[in-house]
Amino acid sequence: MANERPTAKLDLGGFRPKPAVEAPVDETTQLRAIEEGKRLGFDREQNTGPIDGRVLRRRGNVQMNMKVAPETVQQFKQMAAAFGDQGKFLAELLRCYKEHGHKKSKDS
Amino acid sequence: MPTIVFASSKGGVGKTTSALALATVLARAGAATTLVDADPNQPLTRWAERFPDSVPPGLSVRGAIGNAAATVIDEAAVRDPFVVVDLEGTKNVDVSVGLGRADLALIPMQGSQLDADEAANVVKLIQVQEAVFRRTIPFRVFFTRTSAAIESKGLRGISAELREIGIPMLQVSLMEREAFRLPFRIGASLYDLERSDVRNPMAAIENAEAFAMEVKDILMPAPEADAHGQ
Repeated sequence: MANERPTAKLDLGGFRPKPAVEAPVDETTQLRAIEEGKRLGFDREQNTGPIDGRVLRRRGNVQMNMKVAPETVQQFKQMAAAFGDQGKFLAELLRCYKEHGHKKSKDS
Repeated sequence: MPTIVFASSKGGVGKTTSALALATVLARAGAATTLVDADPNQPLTRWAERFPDSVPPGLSVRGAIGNAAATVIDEAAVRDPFVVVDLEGTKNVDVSVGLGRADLALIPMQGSQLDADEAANVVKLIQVQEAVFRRTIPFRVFFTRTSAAIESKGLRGISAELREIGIPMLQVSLMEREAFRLPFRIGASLYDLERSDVRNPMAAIENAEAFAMEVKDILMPAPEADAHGQ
């Protein structure tokens, strides 16, 4: 029934994407923003400390073992901890890769 | 063009629900919108994954945690006219980064003194970040989960107090309605809900649209319109 309702009369025609040339925030400013935020108590960091992988495991999944660099393991565990679930995080990575393909990072 | 950032220093104030409602209305009104889920719990990303058919045409949901959020916001801002960002509801360093991208920061709160104090914390952070980023960061505080029937004395008092100290507020609050929460449980967007799902889906839609209209008017005031909230 809700579908039968006409769309909201919101005139959004004047809004456009930002110009691509507009420079994103530079790193120095971003770091200063973080430091200033910390002074006001906005200091909680993502992904701090070693993560015990056991807390992220779920029952019902199968094991996948692979040899990777220790720093890759640590990075994966930290990101997965923030995401909340290792298996779902890996699935999300695969989904992103499938969606966007391989892109060289700016750092490489 | 605008990046609209929902920020709160505490969880459970209706931030994610409000972000989804706004993004849904914008997409439904024909504006390509990216909804950036920067909350580590990824409630919006999970919603989009669990119920892909519920994501309205024109709405992209992108998960981005920690450092990745800034990049995802920047990329989305040059692709879509609207970017709606749901930050983590904690005193996280990423709140500072997210606010740096905001063309409008929206701070949800419920009618409690605790929430008012937390909202004031975010306002202070915005004021500090304005100096860092050397620009004004427009913001509004708004109430969530308000009663459709009656405005409580406490809510009126807190509202008056915030206005008195010069904190700009949205006139429209998002009301306590099952229709705003139901999409996370059964899928479906706000516009897909039926009377069999929830008692009065139209009331929630009208509320969300009024909210979006006020946000739009702040971002691009109509020539004849008065300035809202300030």
